[in-house]
Amino acid sequence: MNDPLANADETAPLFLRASGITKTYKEHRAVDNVTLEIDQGEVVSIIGPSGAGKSTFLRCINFLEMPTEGTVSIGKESVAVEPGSRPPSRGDLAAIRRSVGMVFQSFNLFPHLTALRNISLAQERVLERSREEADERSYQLLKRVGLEAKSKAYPGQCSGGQQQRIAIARALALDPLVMLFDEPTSALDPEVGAEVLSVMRELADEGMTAIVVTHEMAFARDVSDRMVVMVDGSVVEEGEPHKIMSDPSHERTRKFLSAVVGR
Amino acid sequence: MITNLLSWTQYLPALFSGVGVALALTGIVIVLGFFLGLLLAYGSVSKVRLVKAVALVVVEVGRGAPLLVLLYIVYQGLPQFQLTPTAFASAVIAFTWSAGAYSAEVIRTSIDAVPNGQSEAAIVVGMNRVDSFRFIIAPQAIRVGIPPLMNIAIQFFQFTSLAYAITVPEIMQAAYFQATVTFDYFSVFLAAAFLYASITIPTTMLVSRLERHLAKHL
Repeated sequence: MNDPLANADETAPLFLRASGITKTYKEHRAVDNVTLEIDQGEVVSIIGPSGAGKSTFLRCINFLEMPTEGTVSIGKESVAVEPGSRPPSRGDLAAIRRSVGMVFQSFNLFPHLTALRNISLAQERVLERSREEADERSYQLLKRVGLEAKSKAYPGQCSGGQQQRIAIARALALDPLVMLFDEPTSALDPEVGAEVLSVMRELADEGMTAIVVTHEMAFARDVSDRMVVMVDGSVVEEGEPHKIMSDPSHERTRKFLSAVVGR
Repeated sequence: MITNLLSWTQYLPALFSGVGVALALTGIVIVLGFFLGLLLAYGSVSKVRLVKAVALVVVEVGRGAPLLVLLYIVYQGLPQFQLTPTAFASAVIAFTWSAGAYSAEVIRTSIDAVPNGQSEAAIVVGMNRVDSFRFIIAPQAIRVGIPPLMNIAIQFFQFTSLAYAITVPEIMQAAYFQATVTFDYFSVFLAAAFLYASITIPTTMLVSRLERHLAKHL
């Protein structure tokens, strides 16, 4: 595996860099040459209208979607995809995924396992922690998201908001360098979504590095260090959240903001 | 004419020997059929075209051909090729073929029934494909698949009556023998029906209880 960071001219150590990510389905370019860099401790929100390719781009970062083209680098690991060349090996993908945690819109908790086991299983199988060690860490994480009382509950016995907080704990348990949140509150009532957002806010305050695809404009404005606006598969605007929201420079951003903020 | 409503029960003891044979046949067929079903399910999604084609043909014939025809192919047909399985072995082969074909479909659809998000979640927590199947997909697929597989078992217990046609000494064979001796056809076959029902009805009830239990955490 070659290391593009070694001969990059940036001096600041980049945490994650997804560059030139393109995803095409037949004729349609869902994601069109998007580049995103994120530093340690930074929270970046990706906003934009539905169908803009935000989630697809996010899923390309950990190769849940195989990009048609592009490079993802995290720390020392780097995986490049070029059209026509051999797809990356499973080992390379695993190396990237080990550093990236993900939280889904639909939680995707394992329904046949208790909250605690949901969080412990991968620690045991992937990080080879002992059962006791894994369960102890899981319990601490459940505490951190305010759900230690639910450790023995099955996902079906938890509310949507609780399930999403458990899913956040599950992702954190692998000690990822970067967390990806794919519309984490879109499947929740606003009231319930608020409890998830407040957990995310606390984690951000504690220094979590995260990329968040969201429609929660207040959260994006208050919590993220940087905002990226995607429209039709491309980044149209990027910068400081307050500035983008109060004084968007791009016509499409203006249109989008007036639609979502005016509600 | 009907002197005693329960007179048919006198024939039950004579049929008991057949129950053992029918249950043994069912048991063997269900176990073998399940493993054949696993193989066929795996084969039917294989990327190797020949494997996939063979699996699909075996499944389609197993489900498409009447059991009685399969029985005759094995019992009467194989001897032409110098293979002479006993009646019981022939029944095992024919029933396993059919049970395997039906099980393969249940297994395949049970695995398909596990939402895609589950394997995505397993991937993003870094699990490899074997672990993902073992700890995430299979346990959920089993909860979905056990009730239909048990219903197949119940059905095949009833189907064992067809093995009478190739002289397997199961319940029907015993009943027919009794009937030809006593000429009390109605009572003898009523007794046979009672024996089948006394096994299938409780089992069916058990399956629906199990179904509710298994669905609890899905």
